[in-house]
Amino acid sequence: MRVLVVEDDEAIAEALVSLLEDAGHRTCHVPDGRRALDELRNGEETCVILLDMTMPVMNGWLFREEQVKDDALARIPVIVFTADALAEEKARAIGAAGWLRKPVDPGRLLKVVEQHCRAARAPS
Amino acid sequence: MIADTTGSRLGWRPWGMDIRLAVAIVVTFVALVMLVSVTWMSTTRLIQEASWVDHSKDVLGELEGVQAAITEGETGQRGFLITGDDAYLESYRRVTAVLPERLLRIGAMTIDNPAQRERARRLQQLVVERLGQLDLAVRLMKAGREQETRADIRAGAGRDTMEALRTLISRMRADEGALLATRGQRSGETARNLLTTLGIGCGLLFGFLTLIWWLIRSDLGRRNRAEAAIRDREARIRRLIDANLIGVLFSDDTGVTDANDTFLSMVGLERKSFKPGDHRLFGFTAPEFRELDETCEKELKETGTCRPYQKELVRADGTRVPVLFGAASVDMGGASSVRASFVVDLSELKRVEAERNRLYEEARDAVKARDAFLSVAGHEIRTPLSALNLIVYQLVRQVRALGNEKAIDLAGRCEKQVGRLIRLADELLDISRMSSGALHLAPEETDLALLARDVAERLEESARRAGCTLEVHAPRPVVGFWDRLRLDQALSNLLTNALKFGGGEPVLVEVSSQGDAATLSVTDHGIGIHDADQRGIFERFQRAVTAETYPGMGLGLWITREIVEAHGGKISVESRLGAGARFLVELPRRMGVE
Repeated sequence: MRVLVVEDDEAIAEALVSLLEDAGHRTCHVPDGRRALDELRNGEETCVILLDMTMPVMNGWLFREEQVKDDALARIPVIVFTADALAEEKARAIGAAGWLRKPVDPGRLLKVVEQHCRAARAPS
Repeated sequence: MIADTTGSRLGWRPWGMDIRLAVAIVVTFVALVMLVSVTWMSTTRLIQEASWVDHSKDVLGELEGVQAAITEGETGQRGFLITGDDAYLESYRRVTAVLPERLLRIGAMTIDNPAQRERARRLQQLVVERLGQLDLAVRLMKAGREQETRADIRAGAGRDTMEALRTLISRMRADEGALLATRGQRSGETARNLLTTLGIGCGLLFGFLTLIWWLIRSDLGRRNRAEAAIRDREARIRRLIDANLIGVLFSDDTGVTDANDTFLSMVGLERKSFKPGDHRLFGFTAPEFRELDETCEKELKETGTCRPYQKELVRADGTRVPVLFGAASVDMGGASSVRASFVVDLSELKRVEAERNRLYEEARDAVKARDAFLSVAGHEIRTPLSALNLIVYQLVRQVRALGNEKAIDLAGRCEKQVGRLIRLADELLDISRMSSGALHLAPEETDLALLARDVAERLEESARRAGCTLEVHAPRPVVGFWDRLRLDQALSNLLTNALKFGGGEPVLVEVSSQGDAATLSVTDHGIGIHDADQRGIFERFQRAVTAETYPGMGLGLWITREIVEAHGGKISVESRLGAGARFLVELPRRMGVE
């Protein structure tokens, strides 16, 4: 299972992907919510979504709205990943599984991702 | 200058006099009437009684006259009888001629006294008898019967009649004398009573007149004082009006009757062109304020005063002037509604207010712009920092794997500087949140003692580099309902400061509790803070040291104070220059509970 990184900032996305892959995770990066939905519907199975909120084309809010409408996608946990000071409030508002505020502590990021991916891989 | 439209309303009011004065005048008048009546009656009585006294005296006089006349007649007759000289008969004839007249008067005078009247009648008989006897002797003498005449005289002829006459007159005189004494006594009593009445009456009148004089004097004094007070008050009002500090105008049903120079200048009118009645009281008001005028008019009719309100007046040249207007009815019960109004020019006030509002808006916009900038800057800095942080994290690990010591050292320094940049960005973001009141706390059960130990442990490396020993004195758990991350941030700021300014001396963190309050203190023995700087250090961008010697933005203590106060607590500092500082944080265990 892979980690879907939804992030419009190229530098952050590349650094994230590099960090996660070094830690042994398979990853996929998309720059906006629309591409993320396409990837979720057509691509590999995803264990957790790292979601930036402020993005072009389709922002994090709209993506989340579409995601929860689709039963097949709704259960995939979302970690809000934003520079906004109100990260926690935003995460709570869209019903996310957790939140990480940029700049993130890489150790904590890996811990959270590992936790969700292990849970997703575990037999239900 | 404004004409005197008020005038003195105090004239002579005859029926408005003091009630005591009115009573005194009435009483005095009644006393005077009574005195005159009593005096008139007493005097009349006195005159009557005096006439009776005179009457008795007249009776006595007539009786004496009768007796004297008979005696004189008898003396004359004797002289003739002895000498035969006719000259003696002259007085005899003169006296006997008046006797009948006297006897008639006595009879008339005793008509009121039956006893005396009876005696008078007897007297008349005796006198006639005696005169007859005398006349007989004279006639005998003239007839040459001298011997016979003298023999009769020697025999005592007429002696009895004369004796009876004397006795009768004596009795009549005695009676009349007694009457005279009685009448004289009564007359004297009446005169004394009259004098006593007059004395008492005059005394009372004098007393009443003195009282009236005193009352009039005090009434006049009171009136004079009241008039003086009114004149004084009017003079003050006049001075106020003529001082032209505010616009003043008087009006009645005919319109504005008078106005001072300030008001005329306010509405752009010349004194010489102003005519009473040309303008209505509310005729200067700008159309959109007419409704306020109507309310004022209603209040004036109902209560006599109109509360001051702001409006705009239209000047003669069409420009407008903002004013404060108020009015009061000042008529004293007349049919016409006389009103006094004041008008204060608010132009300067409005200009200053507009300027102040403009400056306030500018300042507020500047603050908004600053906070927006800080927010955006904080956010925008965090995005590249975020990437940098992730990259450096991986770089450090890659370099460590390669084993190049120099590269490991450089990568470590690089990671540390990224950490500082992240804290700086966090602080900028905190400023904008706290300034806009958007600092939301997430309270949870937190042990302050444990938190203090965690923070101290995390800063152990910094303390070592600063040459300080870091000691935590927190013997017992101090549990409260606080935002753990924010308190961590606050204590980190205090400890970072203590290490920074601690001069390599030991730093002590103490945690204790008392009842519902928890106390956290950080004590260092460094450079200390000057008294004058102690209040300012909790403000934004305020520093007690120069940036050249101790770099920093001056945000840490302000953020700490905001966090502590958001928890309902307070922070204070005790310090002396050169003798270290002790920062004391007091927190209620549960927010909103002191």
